[in-house]
Amino acid sequence: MIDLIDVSKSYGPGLPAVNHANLHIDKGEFVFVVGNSGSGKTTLIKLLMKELDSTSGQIIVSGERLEGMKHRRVAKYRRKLGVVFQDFRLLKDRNVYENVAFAQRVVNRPTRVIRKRVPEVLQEVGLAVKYKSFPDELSGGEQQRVALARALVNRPDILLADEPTGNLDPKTSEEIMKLLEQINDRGTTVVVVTHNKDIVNSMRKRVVTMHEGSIISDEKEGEYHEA
Amino acid sequence: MRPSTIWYTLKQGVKNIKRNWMFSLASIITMAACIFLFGIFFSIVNNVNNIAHKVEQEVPITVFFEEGTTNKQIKAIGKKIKARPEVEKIEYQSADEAWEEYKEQYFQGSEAADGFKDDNPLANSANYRVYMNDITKQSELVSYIQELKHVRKVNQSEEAAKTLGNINKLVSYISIAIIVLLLIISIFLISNTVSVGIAVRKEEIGIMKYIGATDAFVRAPFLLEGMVLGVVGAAVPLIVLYFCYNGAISYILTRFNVLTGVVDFIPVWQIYQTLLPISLGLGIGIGLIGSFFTTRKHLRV
Repeated sequence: MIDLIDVSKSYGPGLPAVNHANLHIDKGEFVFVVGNSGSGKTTLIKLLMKELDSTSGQIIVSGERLEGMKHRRVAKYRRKLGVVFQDFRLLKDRNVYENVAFAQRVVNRPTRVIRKRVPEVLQEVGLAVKYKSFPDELSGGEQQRVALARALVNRPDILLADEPTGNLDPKTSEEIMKLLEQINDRGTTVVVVTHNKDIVNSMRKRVVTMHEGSIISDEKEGEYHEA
Repeated sequence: MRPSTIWYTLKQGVKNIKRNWMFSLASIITMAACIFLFGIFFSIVNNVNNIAHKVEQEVPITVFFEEGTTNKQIKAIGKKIKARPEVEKIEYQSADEAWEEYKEQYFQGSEAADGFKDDNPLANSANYRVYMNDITKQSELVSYIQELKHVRKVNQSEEAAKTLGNINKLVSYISIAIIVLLLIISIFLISNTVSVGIAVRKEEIGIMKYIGATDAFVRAPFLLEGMVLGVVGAAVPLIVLYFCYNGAISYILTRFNVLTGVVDFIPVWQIYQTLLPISLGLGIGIGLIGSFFTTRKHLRV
């Protein structure tokens, strides 16, 4: 599903943000990418999102090679991904329903499909009753659920989450992680970048640890190791 | 594109304009001012050209023939001259007609001319009067005619040709310079307005791109915004100019009534046949170009 072969990314002279990384993730896996600030985990996610181009190496996602991918092909590629950020990135002037529907509108889904699919996905994330609320009227956890609903509404093959619990309290973080686990149980490959030690240690999932751009460990039912 | 997507694009385009209404208004006003100036200049250039063209047609070249040239040869010369693209029309004047005109002009019915009754002093003065549609090519045409067989002499008004040609050129250069300047200013302004719109929606654009929106989908509302600004910015000055033009002509003709019958102003509908599509095209074009290049910078996410 995801293959990184000797991937490096440099922003300039000095140590590369990602340094000769090799990683293979199978379809349906749940993977944590952990590490301290500046370890290169966010750069890794950005490479997978094709927000950045690698300096060297090969990245293959769902059979598509990302290096040299034409700009106009990137939009189609991203439709295979769902993305969740630490700061939720919701549209403040639109309610919950519109925020989720927006993701469908962007990929040109007909209105009848949107009307059916959006309530379904809101139900999945437990926000069906709040579909008329605006982001500012929601708690952090609820906002992250909306972001998750938006990421899932187009049924992506892969869900990339960059510090999804970074702005949330421990209890809400746990709820969000449970939700991600449920999503993974339905067959979606989930990659979560985090530095939340408690969550990583409690979930016993595959853990890829990064330090100064390099992958220093990759454990099947791993724990968070300080580098 | 699905109807729902078109509807979304329209809604977002109008929303952008409303959200940045101050900048939108500033763009419309500046664009309107630019197109208004363009319209004024266009009207002046066209009227000056029209007057110059009329004068051009009244300054003919006169072509005289060698002695003994037959009618057939004269006709052949006429045919060759008429075939030239810069020639508007030619008129033939026989020797008798030339004498009649001369008598009319200089003897004014006096009996002195009767002495030449059976002996036309202008027997060798049959000629063609050649009227041109582009007086700047007069010397070129004169050289061509002088080379023709059986042509004895060609009279021309070099000074008039030069002056008119120069006026035409000057007006054209100034108009081109002003039009280019106005275009640059307008594109800059539209680009600024769209930039503000994009700054406000930068986050939204980023989200759209992460979700998998194509550049065209992201760009469409901004292009629509530019187009709407362009159309309104062109329509307003066109309406104002329509009334100003008619008002200005009646004012000039009333104030300087010596010009009545001398200067023919082009009617407003005739000016608008060209000005309307050009101005709307300019408005829409400037709007589209300004928006297109501004959004391009922000789409590389």
